Amino acid sequence: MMQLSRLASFGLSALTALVFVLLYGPLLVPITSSFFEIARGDVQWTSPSLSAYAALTRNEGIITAFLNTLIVGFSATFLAVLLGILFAIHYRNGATFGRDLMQFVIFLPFLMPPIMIGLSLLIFFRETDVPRSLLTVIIGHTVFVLALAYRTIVVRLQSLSVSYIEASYDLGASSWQTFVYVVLPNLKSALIGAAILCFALSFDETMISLLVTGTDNTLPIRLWAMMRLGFTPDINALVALILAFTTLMCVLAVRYLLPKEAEGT
Amino acid sequence: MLFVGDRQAKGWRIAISALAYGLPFLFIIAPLLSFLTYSFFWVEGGQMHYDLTWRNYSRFFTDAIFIPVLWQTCLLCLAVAVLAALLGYPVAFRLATLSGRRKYILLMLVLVPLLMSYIIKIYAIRSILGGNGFLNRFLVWANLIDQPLTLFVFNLNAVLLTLTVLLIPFAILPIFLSLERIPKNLIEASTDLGASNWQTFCRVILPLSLPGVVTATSFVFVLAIGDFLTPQMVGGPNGFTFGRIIYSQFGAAFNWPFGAALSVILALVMSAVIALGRRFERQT
Amino acid sequence: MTIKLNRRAMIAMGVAAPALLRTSWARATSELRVMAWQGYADDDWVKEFQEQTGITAQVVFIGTDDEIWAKIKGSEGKDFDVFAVNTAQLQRYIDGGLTTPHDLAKLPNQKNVLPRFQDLAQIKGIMRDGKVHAIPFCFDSIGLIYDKAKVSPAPDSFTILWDPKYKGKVLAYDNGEHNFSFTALTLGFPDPFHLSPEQMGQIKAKLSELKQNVLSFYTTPDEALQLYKSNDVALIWANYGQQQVKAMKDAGADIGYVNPKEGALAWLDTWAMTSGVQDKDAAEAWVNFLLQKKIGEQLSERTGFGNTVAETGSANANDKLVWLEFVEDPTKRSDLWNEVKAQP
Repeated sequence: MMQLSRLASFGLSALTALVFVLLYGPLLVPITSSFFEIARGDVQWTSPSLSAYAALTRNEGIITAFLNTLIVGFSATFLAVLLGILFAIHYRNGATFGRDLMQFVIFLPFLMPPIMIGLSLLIFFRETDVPRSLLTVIIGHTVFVLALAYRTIVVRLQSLSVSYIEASYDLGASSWQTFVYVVLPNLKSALIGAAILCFALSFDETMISLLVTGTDNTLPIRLWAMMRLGFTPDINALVALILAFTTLMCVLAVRYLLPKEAEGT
Repeated sequence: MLFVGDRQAKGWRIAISALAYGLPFLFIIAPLLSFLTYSFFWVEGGQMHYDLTWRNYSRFFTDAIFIPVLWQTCLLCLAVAVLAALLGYPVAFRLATLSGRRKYILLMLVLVPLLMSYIIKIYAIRSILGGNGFLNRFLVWANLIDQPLTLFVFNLNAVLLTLTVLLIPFAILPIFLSLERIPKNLIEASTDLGASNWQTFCRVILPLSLPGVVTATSFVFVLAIGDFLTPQMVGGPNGFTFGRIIYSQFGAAFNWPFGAALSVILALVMSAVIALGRRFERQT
Repeated sequence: MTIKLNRRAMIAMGVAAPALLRTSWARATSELRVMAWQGYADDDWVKEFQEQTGITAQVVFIGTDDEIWAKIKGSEGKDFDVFAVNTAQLQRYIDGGLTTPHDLAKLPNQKNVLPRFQDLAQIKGIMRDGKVHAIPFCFDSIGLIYDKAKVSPAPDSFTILWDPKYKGKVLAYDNGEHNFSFTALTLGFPDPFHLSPEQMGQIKAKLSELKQNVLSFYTTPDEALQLYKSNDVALIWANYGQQQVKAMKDAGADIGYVNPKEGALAWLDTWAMTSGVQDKDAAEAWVNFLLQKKIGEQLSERTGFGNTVAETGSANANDKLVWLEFVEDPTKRSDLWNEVKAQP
């Protein structure tokens, strides 16, 4: 990117800082309260405590629900990104039969209200005798997040110059070799981005999950139900742990997985 | 192109085509179509009638409440999308101008809040915004105001702000991805030809990043319209959006046919808005 | 309308990432599938139930009546064996053939419930054609919560919700059915569950006035508590009754609770078996297990709700309680309520 003037650089940094405050401000509420007991509605600032964390370790229901959420999130993300690549290649290369219509179809579940997608899938699974389970939740989520993956990948694929691919063919590479050595590396950051967006959406999805699950809870289902009686303090602890863990993972991933040559743009 | 005209890859091409048409048919078209037939049934006095009718669709146009609510909802969500893009663009740009690992670490930090359950975030935001919320208490404590502000207490401003805060990461990432792809030599060429930074930005960077901006705004717009919890939780008596009308049809009202019809209408309106966005992207 | 597909083909296509899916779509059928509200199936009860009976109860928790209906109706009762539902909502499940009647011989603990829940025929809505479709479990009145410092003397009528003195300090509940019913009581209409079109019109106008006085329409008790804590709130129409009172008092609020003279609506949650119940005995064992005195006491202690087995202070003997009934036309009420909310 270009060399910024001091003023522009300062302005951009200030705006970035503002957005970070907006993003992280709300997170401070559950995180701080996870370290203090709450008695009679007031936070007991004088006596920090880890009791919320201890309570969390005993709450099997929440832990199972959290693990289910992870299973669903990773599976749906994996499937959505895989299908996203496949569809993007299909509809961006040659095959144009019904392209606009099919793109619309891929976008539909994202455009429709989740309760409607959940109900149609539930009725569909019922009619076809597919037992409701985490598997159906995974299918539901994949259908829901596919549009995000597809769009992110297609935008990147469009910007990929055709001459790269042609050059690869001219050098005698097969389609597979071209895909693996030319296309995929160029898609890399788009794929990672798509995966993160999909996972984030799946991680928070309530309505489809609730309608197509069998007897398994996911974390959003539990949180949704808890709204009636209020969140227990261990939820704050869980939220704080998720945040700490993901931040750590991100930093580690960037630190150790990112090759040196990726530095500098 | 890829897998096309390559003899050896013919099998793969056929497999890809089969999947590309088969899977959406099986898991999207079939369930949705079978459910959409509901939108031609009708409900009266709590009983579902299975003869086909257009009345659910005509009711949308004849009943006085639906179009105004849909219009307001669209305006609100467009405002959210534009606000998110306006705030997200500088952040994405700042990140793209950084070098090395710092860039990716900051990018990840933008995305981490997405993994905090959104119900929890709405609760937190509400405790910040309320009349005696943290924000007002802080402002009063800092002597910036005498009386608690009502600007963000349970009205549409609060919905706008909350949705924007919740959805900004969905705007930043697509914009970042498109900025990152702009070939360095284009920018260098522009600078070499004597263009100022501002000119380079307006003539080179902005147009090339537009697909990302359009993607970002359409993601945020769609997610904002689909959210029926936020308006309920921070909107107060006026936090009434089209999403809530649809939701109520599937539950309390027990009017699935009408809910299905409203969903179809909503999907059509959203597709139109997104198509407009695409056109804008192509023309510029 | 529906498209039949080869099930095996569907599953084969769906399992594209088998390595990630170590879990559970082919579980043993001996487990009991329960759909419940938070607080109705606590972990320790589930554990004790398993120790006593050897039956594993898998509980899915739901957040609103709307979702129970969508889930049970959408799966035609096949996804759960037993579910919690209130007596007013129950009617549409019975109408839709989504319930299986209970066999009282399998529920010995029902003999020990409080006197007013002894004679099931006296409780409106749970019996149909001589069969018991649901067993009462938990109830509460829908009265008024008032902040003692801001409202004095204690209110005795719902009309105070319309008092301009409390403009912007009132919390009401976001539900068309209930709001029409309680406004009908306030206006003195004899049958709040079966309203004529003229009465509906009057109520709609009255609710539009209420909207002007209201800070927000809440949906869950915790939401109301949060709103109370971070705003200047004087009056709450307490859809969750004693439970809300308990939560607010736990949070240190100085509040009172009244069942107004017009009569307070009261809800009664029950356990019903679905039409798709796989093991009827297991489902009835679950219900019977929950009808123990100890469980009832724990339920009331933990949530504040009244239970059907052990006496609690949920409603004074003199209070006029109006048990919720299925209303004449829920679709109509929901539409009118949406219109009220859509008004500027």
